[in-house]
Amino acid sequence: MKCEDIEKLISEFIDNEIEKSMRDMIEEHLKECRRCLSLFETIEKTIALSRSIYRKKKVPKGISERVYYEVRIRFKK
Amino acid sequence: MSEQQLIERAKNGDTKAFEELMKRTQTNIYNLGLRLLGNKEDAADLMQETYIKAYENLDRFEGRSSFSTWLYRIATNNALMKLRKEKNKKVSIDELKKFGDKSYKIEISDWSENPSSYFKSAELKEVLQKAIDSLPPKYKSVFILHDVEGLPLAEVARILSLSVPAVKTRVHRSRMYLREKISEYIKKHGN
Repeated sequence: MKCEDIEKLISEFIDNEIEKSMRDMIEEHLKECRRCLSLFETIEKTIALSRSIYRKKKVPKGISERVYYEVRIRFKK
Repeated sequence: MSEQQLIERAKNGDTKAFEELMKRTQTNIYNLGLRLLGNKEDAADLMQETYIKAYENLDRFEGRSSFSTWLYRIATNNALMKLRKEKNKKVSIDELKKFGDKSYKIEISDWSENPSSYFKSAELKEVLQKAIDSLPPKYKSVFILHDVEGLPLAEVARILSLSVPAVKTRVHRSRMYLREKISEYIKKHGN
C-alpha cells in the first residue's frame, strides 16, 4: 500500500468504514511509515480539538420558555 | 411514555405531549444551532423555527426515521439557509477538492513535539474556530453533524439527503483542510 492510498482512505479508516483486510494493510503501513502515522494522529487531534471547542451547553431558561410560549400560541390557533 | 406515544398524542393536539417531546430534544437542537450558527440568539431562533415547523408538519412525520433525526433535518435545513446568507469569507470548494487530488502534495508535520498544553491555548482554538466557520455551508454542516455531534455517516446522509459516499468525501476534505490550518499555525507559532 502506498502513502497516497493512505491519504485517500485515512478518514474511512478513522471512521471504521473499511473492511478488515484493508484495515490490516493500513495498520501495517502505519507501523512502518512515520509520515502516514503523523497524518493519522494529526487528523485525530483535529477532530478532538474541534469537539473541545463545542462543549455541550444547557438551553438557557429564558430561551426555553420563549420557544415553549411561541409554540403554545400556534397550538391555540 | 414512549416517543411514539407522545408523537401520536401531539398529532391529536395534545400540547403537553409536544412539550414533552421538546423537553427531550431541545438540548440537542439548541447545541446544533450554536455549533452551526455560532451565537445563542441565532441558536434560539433556529430552535423556535424548528419546533414550529415540526409542529406544523407533524402529520407528515411517518416514523421512517427517528423523531430526533427528523428534527435535525428541519433544523439543519433552516441553518443552511442562514449560513448561505453569511458574508464571512469562505474557502472555495476547489480549494477543498485538492485533498484527494494526487497532484497535491500534503505537507505533514509532527505535532507531537508540542506539549499537550499547547493545544489548549485560546489562540489555537480561535484559529480552528475561524477555519470551521470558513467552510462552505455544505461542508460545515457535514463536519459538525459527524465529527462534533458524533452522528453516524448514514444518519448525516439521511438528514442532508445525500449519499453516504458524498458525506464521506465532505468529511474527509473538511478534516484535511482543518488539519492543514492547524499545521500552518503550529509552523508559525509552535516548537
